Amino acid sequence: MTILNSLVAIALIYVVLLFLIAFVAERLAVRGRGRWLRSPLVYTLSLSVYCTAWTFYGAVGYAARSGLEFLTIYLGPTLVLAGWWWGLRKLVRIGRSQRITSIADLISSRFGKSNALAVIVTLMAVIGTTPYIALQLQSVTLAVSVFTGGIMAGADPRGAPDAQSVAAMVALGLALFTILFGTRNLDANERHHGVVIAIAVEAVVKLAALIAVGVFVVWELSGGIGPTLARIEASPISEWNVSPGRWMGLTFVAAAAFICLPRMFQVMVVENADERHLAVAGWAFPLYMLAMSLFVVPITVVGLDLLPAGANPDLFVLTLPLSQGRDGLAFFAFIGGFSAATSMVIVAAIALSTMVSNHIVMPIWLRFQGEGASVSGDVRHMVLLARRISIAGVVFLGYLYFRLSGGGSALAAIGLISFVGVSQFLPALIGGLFWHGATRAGAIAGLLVGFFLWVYTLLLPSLASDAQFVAGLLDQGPLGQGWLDPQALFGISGLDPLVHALVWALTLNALVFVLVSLVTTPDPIERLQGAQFVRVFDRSANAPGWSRSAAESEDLLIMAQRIIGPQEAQRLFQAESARQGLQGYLPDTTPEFINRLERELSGSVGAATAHAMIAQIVGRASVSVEDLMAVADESAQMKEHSTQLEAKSEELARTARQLRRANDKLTELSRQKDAFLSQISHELRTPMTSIRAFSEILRDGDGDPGQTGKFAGVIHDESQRLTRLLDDLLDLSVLENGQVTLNLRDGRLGQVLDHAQGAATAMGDDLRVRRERAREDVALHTDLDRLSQVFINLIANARKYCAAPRPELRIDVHTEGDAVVIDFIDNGAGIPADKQNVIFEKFARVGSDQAAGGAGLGLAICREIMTRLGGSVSYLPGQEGAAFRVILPLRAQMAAQ
Amino acid sequence: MAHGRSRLPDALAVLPLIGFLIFSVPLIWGGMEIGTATALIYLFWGWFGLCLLTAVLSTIASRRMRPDDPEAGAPDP
Repeated sequence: MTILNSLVAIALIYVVLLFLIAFVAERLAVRGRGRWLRSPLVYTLSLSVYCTAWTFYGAVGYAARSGLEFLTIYLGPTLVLAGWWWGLRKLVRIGRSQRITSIADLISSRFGKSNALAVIVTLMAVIGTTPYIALQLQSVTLAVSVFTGGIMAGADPRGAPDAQSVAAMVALGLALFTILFGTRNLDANERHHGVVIAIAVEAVVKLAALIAVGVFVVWELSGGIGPTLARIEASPISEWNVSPGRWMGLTFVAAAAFICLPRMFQVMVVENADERHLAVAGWAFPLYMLAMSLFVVPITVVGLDLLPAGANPDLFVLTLPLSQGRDGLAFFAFIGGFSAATSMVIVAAIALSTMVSNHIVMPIWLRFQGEGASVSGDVRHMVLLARRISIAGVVFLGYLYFRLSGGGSALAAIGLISFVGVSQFLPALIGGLFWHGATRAGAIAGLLVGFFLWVYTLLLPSLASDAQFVAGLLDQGPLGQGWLDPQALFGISGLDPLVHALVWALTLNALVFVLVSLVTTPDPIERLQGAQFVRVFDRSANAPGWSRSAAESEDLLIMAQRIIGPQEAQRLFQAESARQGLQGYLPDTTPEFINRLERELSGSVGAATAHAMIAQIVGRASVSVEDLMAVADESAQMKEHSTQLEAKSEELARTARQLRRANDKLTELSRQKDAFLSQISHELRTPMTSIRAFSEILRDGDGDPGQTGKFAGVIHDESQRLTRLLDDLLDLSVLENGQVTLNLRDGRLGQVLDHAQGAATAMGDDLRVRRERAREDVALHTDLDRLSQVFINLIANARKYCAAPRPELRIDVHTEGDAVVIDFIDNGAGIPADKQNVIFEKFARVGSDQAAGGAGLGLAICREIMTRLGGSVSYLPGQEGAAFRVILPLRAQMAAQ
Repeated sequence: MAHGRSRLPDALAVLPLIGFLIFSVPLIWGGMEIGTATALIYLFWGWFGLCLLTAVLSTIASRRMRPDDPEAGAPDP
């Protein structure tokens, strides 16, 4: 039992180390200091999730049974990587430009953002991967059982003392790790720095472990390279005995699986930070695989030689050092296998959970929300929750499969079966990438046919030993129809079952895909997406999918904030506004902008869901004739000519847009000014009238002395009101002319806010102010009195105009770069979009707020003050009520005075 | 230079084919007396050679991707 304890201790220390590495990497990435986290080397190492425990332990067993055939598992991917320029580069480019989150997302996005297709791919991926996860759990429990007992007796995992609890513990730990680092944030690009770096470390560990065992075997047990080769010649596997069919078939399956496996797609395409990394991975990862397989044959041969006849060759990597008394080396090998198993489960769980949550959970949830995105709550939270539950679900499914199948040889064969399963994605993937004419119907039909044949010819027979029904099926065919025998379709027997299944499933899959594509017509969105995918290297292929619409920019902002977070969304909208030559957070909803927004959103929730959510706000996606023209090949030449014209007309459109806004603003202002003039004469006149009337009474002296004081009081009050109005006008004109002198002092933001809140609510505290004082501890060097004046004005405005039954003001402080951002958000009705442009102008008033007693100068003064202080104050749309954002630089760089 | 530039993609595209040929050679050994050790040595040297060739061509290619492919670059902060 002590050996089990030390084993558990070592594994625990290793896992804690991984947690630490992942944590540090995340921190570095957040602080922007993690460039090296995204080096070509790390990318190459992360590809090693391809080498699972099945290849770590199983390659030796494979070599013992079938000689050099095990190499095909590595040769296929080598060919794919050697051809990176031709295939992978396109895949990665599409993945980056379309913000693809998974292979299901890619296929669905290519074929018109179809969620049905995404669901099919997701289900196939889950079915193909679950047994594979079970296999990893089995490998760990087997390895543990080697140490705890029955080393040489050929291990049955069910016989081991704590097999179930070991598997359960491993599954639990892995789910925890994956949830912690795989769903830390809803990254716009779906990248996980912590996970990737942990995978890279595991890659080094498993390679080092295998090489250590290999070096021990070759140089210590065999006495060098020459004697080892002689030993190989003399061993039972010395005969070159590989069937050409299996050799080619397996190489092909491995190549296909390398692209199609969800976990490979995740590290290769989704986590790719730079296309150029492929140029390094193209040769470095084949070298890695070469190193992984270099010592497999020596270990096999020496193991067959030295260990008793019944020993399980799948475990030679462990049992060989153990039998020679090298416990340390055996421990190291155990950690290597543990690395291989854990990295596979982690990445597979992330990839699958992304698919399940984006394509199954989210669409269902959106449907139950009724109105959907436009009224729902925080979608981000929901997506993260869905993803966490999916991860736990995927890992639990793997564990369940392990429990039910009970390990054994059926599970060991599942590696290749799973490869054949996921390689059914290949026709749709390749067709989608290189063939304009591929259609959604074709893809669905091909996938379903391939999937069905895979289940029928490979998966079912693999379960034969467990089920009576399947055994009968194998013997006589279904319903006694011999030509439907799963392992000899149409009576073609004598093929290796795996090659048989591969040939039938993949050929018919591709055939049906092509045939159905030829007889169906793609709808416009499919055509557009197809053009964008097939011609991803031509820049011009960026055709818009949305017609001009009356979508409200503010609605889009509200939705975007809920999905990618307020800061990210505001930055996106502001950048787009700037690009259009506008100010503020609300750009015009041009088709290009909606397109870009949809791509950003699809980076978080997948293309199909993002498309559906935008469609809820924008309306049905329609494609105009011009859009289709742009897709047609004939128009390519025409486009070349019109590019210059287009650039010019775009500039004109931008200018026109600016002019239109300026004109709207001027018209509104002139209207307001007229209104103000009549109003200010009224406001000057009313106090003047009463002052004149009462002063006349006083002059004539015919009132009783008791009244005199009262009259004088009225005169005093009215003249004070006049003074205040004139003061404001004077203040504003001084600020505008730049004659003001600033009184710069050091202070704390919290104190300024305290003072402002006190002053603004002195007349009554019916307004509840919510603040987070911890965040307000920011040192300032600025004109504190002027700043306080701005705050008082904003708080007083909220107190005056917030119409909610229980008015409440939230003051939210955060720093952004070297500026501090202070948001004042109330829970009232907000300011209508058509007024947001003018509220900072002089004399601007919203509604009939004469009652409030202002002259409409407050915000204008605020804006002038903030400009003097080197910052800004603006209206922040898309919040629950009226919201104002004050931005103040931390280091005071005062505007020229 | 222009000539070399246009030929590089072709050379890169041929790589998988070369690899396929290298890895298919063992298939014609079926009837011959070639042992696992010899096959092992052949396959690993062929494999290594393919990696080397890919490395040389890819390094040249990635240098050229730098100036004229802004979209290939990393937008990471």
